[in-house]
Amino acid sequence: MLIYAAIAIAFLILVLGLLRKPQPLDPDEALSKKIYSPSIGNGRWLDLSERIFDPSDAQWLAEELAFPRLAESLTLGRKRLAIRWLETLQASFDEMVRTPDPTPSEDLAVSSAGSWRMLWLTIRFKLLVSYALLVVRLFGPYHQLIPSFSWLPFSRESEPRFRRAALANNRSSP
Amino acid sequence: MHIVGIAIGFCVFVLEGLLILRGMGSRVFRLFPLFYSYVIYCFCWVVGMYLISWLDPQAYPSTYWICYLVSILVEFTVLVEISDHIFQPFPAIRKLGRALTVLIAAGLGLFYILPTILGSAGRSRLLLEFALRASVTKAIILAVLFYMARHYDCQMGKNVRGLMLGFSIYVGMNVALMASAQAFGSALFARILWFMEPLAFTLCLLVWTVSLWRLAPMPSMRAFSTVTERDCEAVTLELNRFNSELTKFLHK
Repeated sequence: MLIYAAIAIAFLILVLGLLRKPQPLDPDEALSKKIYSPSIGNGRWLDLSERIFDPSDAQWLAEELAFPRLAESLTLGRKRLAIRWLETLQASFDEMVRTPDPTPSEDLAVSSAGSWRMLWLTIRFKLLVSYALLVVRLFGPYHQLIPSFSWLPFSRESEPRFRRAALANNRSSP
Repeated sequence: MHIVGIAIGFCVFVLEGLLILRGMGSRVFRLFPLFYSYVIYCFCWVVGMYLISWLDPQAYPSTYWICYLVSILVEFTVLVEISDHIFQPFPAIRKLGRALTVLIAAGLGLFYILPTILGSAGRSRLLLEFALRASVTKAIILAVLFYMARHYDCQMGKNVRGLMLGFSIYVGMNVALMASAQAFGSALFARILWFMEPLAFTLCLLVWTVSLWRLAPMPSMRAFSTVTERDCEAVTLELNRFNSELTKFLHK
């Protein structure tokens, strides 16, 4: 009984609290957020990720120059950068999701299938980023994020075909 | 006490009638079809009950409880309506509210409400438990919708805010009343609680009537917007790009 009473009171307080008008965003705060989340359309920002998640530098330090401690330090720095990059990606994505439709449709049934597809893409992306963040935090930036499926017979058969298709795609692309 | 019941019933009748008439006169009716179908159901219920009490008083209790059980389920349409409108301005998460509502309702319905129906408690106890758990489920859905709306900075218009506030008052009071009835037994219900639930519904109807009196435009989305507005197709393309970028890293 007490639990339900507490639920009811907490719920009413929550409702009243949430229904009050939100304060307009402070321009300074908005600016700092903007700095924190760069535009995804910026190609250089995406190229940076190639560098962050590339293990060749650390491997070169550890194996060819025989500086294991330096390689370890580099990996640690890259891990911090990778986390920051993924968090920024998430922030930019949230910013994009919050983009309102300039021509809102009054008919709710319009393009229902398209809306469901977009929702699926949004959820899929959020799950992927959360998973990537978890793996980078636990195992570092150079861990193989997708577990190997080589023990499955179908993957062994399909792998060469998949690679051939990928190679063909790469050759045909400019 | 009998007069109190009649007065509350009359208020419900008048407010529902006003809500329907006003909705039909403006564009609000077209914008909130699920909500108005619920209000029309409640209006028909009140009118039907008056007719039955006049024509066949013997059938009144059984008919009332059947309609009450149906109304518990029909109330979920109000939640679907609210959830559809909260994220309407955002193309990427337009269906998020409906997805959340359906998923939470199905999950809690299966694991929280259904065991009560299958239990072997007495009929009145079972009905009370069912109504209580359904109300808790609605409260949870509303709380999640509120949280998500805040998370995505959704600024709701006066109409949707009123819908949410009215329904929240009704659901919150329902949880408290049902829990009290369950704890203190039928004696308290016979004395006070029997008119408290219709009273809560009257209060909810009052909030709905005021907030839906005229169509309120959606407020401008942000006081300080740092993003340029793009159309739905551009957002889909961007989403695809995000996913392909991330998948590329995952496959490394």
